Parts: sequence; structure tokens; C-alpha cells
Amino acid sequence: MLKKLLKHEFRATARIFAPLLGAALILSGATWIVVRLGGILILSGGTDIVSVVPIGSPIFGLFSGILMLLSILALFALMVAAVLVTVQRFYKNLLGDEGYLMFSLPVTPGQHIAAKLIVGTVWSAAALLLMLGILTVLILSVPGAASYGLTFANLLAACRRTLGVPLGAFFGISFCTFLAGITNSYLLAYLSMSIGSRRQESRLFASVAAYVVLNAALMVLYLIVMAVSGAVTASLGILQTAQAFVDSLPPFTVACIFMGVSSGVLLAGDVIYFFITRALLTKKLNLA
Amino acid sequence: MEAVLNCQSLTKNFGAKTALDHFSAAVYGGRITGLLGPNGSGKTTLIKLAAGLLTPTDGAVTVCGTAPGTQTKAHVAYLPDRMSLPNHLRVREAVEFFADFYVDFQEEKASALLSELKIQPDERIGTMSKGTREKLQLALVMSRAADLYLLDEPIGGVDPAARDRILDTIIRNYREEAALVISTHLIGDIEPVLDDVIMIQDGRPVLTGNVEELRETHGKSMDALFREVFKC
Repeated sequence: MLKKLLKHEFRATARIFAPLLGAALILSGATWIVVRLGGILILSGGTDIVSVVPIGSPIFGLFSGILMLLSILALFALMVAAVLVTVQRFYKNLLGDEGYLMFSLPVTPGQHIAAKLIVGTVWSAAALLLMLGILTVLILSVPGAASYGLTFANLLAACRRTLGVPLGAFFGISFCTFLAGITNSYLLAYLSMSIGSRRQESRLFASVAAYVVLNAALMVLYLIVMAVSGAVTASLGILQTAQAFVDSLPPFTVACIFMGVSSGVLLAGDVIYFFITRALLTKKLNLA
Repeated sequence: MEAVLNCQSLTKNFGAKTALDHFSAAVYGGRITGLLGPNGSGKTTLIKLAAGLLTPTDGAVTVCGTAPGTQTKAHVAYLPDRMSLPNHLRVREAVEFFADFYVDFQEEKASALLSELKIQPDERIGTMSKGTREKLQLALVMSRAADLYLLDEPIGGVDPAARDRILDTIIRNYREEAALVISTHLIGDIEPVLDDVIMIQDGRPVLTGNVEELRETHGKSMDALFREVFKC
């Protein structure tokens, strides 16, 4: 049944994402062609300032710049749409009038949550990968980029030099952390909506309020955990030892530890949010 | 004979409000049962509990001997009192949706019904009139060979001519061995097709039984009896 839910969920969300994806790809393709034609040159000014200087006519340069801006905006729009649609689908399809149809299917509430989460995560991950891929290609395609050392080979080498590992390994663990983060955000939103929907009126407002309260509670919890762990480390007199140990590790190992711990905490949250949401939808379902 | 739908001292509270209060009744296969009562009497709550959309506060409800859940939902055809089909779907996609999830869904029957009701397969639900959408939802539900049909106010909010058409669609298409529960407060329209009635008020059954026997005992139609029972 989960496969069938996924099929229909992908179909329902694709009608929103497909045009956005198409627009982003067309814009990026057009930008790439214009950039390759030698319309603009990106000069790296210092560490973080990037200026666009037209080589040919000013109008052509302006046109290239606008295209580049639109491509980037379209890619961001895709990311934002992925988040908004994933949250809105849960609210409308499960907690609104459509919920009467969905919850009369021979499907468990857990499968409903999983289907929504998987589809939302896939679209979000696809949007992120597309954005990173297209931006990399566009930047590396700029005429003259190679003369400033902006080549893919140099990027790989810089990554290995700084982190001590191939770019793929760093990207892999970063992507896993992203997945843990995005699923955590979606499940927290699902939980908030499930709590908010228990009210007979002002359900949307109650959902937003639940989200704010849950986030605030989590912040307080993290602060307490950090303060307690800091105090314990200090009282045991191992603060400097721990600091020295971390400093002795290669940057990639430190990054791995940081992202691994973050992912672990997020995944633990995922499990908790999932089971509470499932319990609410099973025992306390209150459709509009 | 085992009841298809069985409620035993079923209670459902929403906060301080009691929607169903120790409600006990049984519905049997091959019978059409009218769940009759004024607005707010607990009809929809009872149907939602049987459909597995709510969980009881106390007591028990079973469908074919099993508490409502994933297993029973495969055998219960539920028509909610509102439009629940997503607006973005086309009619053929809605048919495919039902066919995917319900093994007892009969696609040929659905096609015939939709054609009879003059609903085009490529029509988008969002562009349909309210009446056409209701007919589509009913056609999809009645295209299932279920053990229990739960129809919540299928004739509420439609004109008298459309009511006859809807009732005709229901009567001609449900699986005859199945139990059919129709909730309504429009007794006059539905009385001719009913085998049994459950009259409900303030979450409690006030009158239940065989329609013929009740007519003979009380010497009046169900409509007249309903007016008497629920007299203000």
C-alpha cells in the first residue's frame, strides 16, 4: 500500500514541481548558452565579492546578468516550493476534507506519514542537488573562470587539501546531514499540524502556535543539554584535554563527528516526532 | 446471524460534549438500515466510528467482528457528508485511485455508472458543479462490492428530483448481501427503501426495529413516527 500511496503522492506533487523544474532547467540552459557565448566574465574580487563585467555590448551583459539572476531565483523557488508543498499537502490531504477519503483507505496512519515524508524529502533533495549542480556548472562555464583557477579539478584539489578527503566523501556526509535535517523539519511540522488539528476552530493558527512552542521548547532543551554537558566537562577537568583532542584531529574527521552527532540527534527527533504524530492520527484524529 | 456492524455501549466524547452515549445497536447483512435523527444527534459520529475515522471513548464497535482499522476499511464503503475527492484529479484518475486501493472496486461498474450519470472521464473534479461532484463520489463508493456501506447524508443538500436519482443509484448498485446504512433526516424520501431503522437522539437510540413491524405496531409511517419521536 505504501507503494501505491507514493505513486499517487508523486503524481499529485509533480503537477506543481514539473512546471517549476522545467522553468528552472530552461532558464539555466539559456543562461549557460549565453554565458558560454562569452557574454560575461566573472571576476573574483577578494574573498567574497563577485562582480559581473560585460565583455561585449552592455545590453548583452545586462541580459546575461538578468538570466543568471532569474536562474538562481528559479532554483531557490524550487527549493521553497518543495518545502511549502510538502507541508501544505499534509495539512490539506490528511487533515482537511480530503482526509475523509485518505483515512478511509485500508492504509495505516504510519504509511500516510511515511508517504508524505518520503515524497517531500525526495523533491527537496532533488531541488538541492539540481541547484548545486546547475550553479557549479554555470560558475565554471563563465569565460575566463579557468584563468582565475575556477575549474572543477581545482575545486576537487582544494577540497582534498583543506579537508584531507575527496569532495565526494565530504559531499556524501553533508548530504546525509541535510536529509536528517529536512526530515526532522518536516516531521516537526507534521507533529505541529496534528496537534493544531485537534482544535475545532482556528486549526491553522493552532498549528503555527504549536510549531512555535515546540521549537522554543527544543531550543531550551538544547541549551540545557549544552550547559549541563559543558559544566560536567569543566567539573571533570577534561575541557582542555577534549579541546586538544579535537584540535589534533583532521578537519574532515571533526566535520564528520559534528555532522554525525547532529544527524544522530535529528534522527532521534525524527523517530519521536513520527511516533507521536502517528499516535495522534490514530487515536485522536479530528478531521475538519 | 452475525451482525455486520455491532455497537455495544458505544460512547464518544468531544471534550465535555457527549456525542454518543452508551449507544448499542446492530446492523445485519442484506438489510437497508436508516440511521435517522435530527442534526447533531450523533449520526455522523456513529458512522465515523464505524468507518475507523474516530476511536471510541468507551464501549466497542465492530465491523464483521473486528474493531475498525486497516483490515475493516478494505470492506467498508464510506460516503462522507462532504466532498473528499481532491479537486486536481480528473475523473479517470479518481477511478484509478479507487481501483488501486480497494480490491473490491469494480472498474467496469464504475464506467457504466459514470456514463449513466453523464460524467466525462477527462473532466476535472474542481471544474464540476457541486451536484456532479456528489454524484461522482457516490458512483465511486457504490462501485465497490463491500460488506458494509456507510452513506452519510447522501441526499442532504440536493433537490427532490436529484434525491430520487441518488436513491435509485444506491439501491441498484449495492451488493445485496451487504449491510447498507443510510444516515439522513429526510425520512419521507428514504422510507420506501428501508428495511430497518435506528432513530437516534442526543447520542442514544430512541427507537430501533423493522420498518414493517414498527408501522404495524404504531399505525403510522416512519415519517410520521419520526415527527412524533423528535417533536420539539
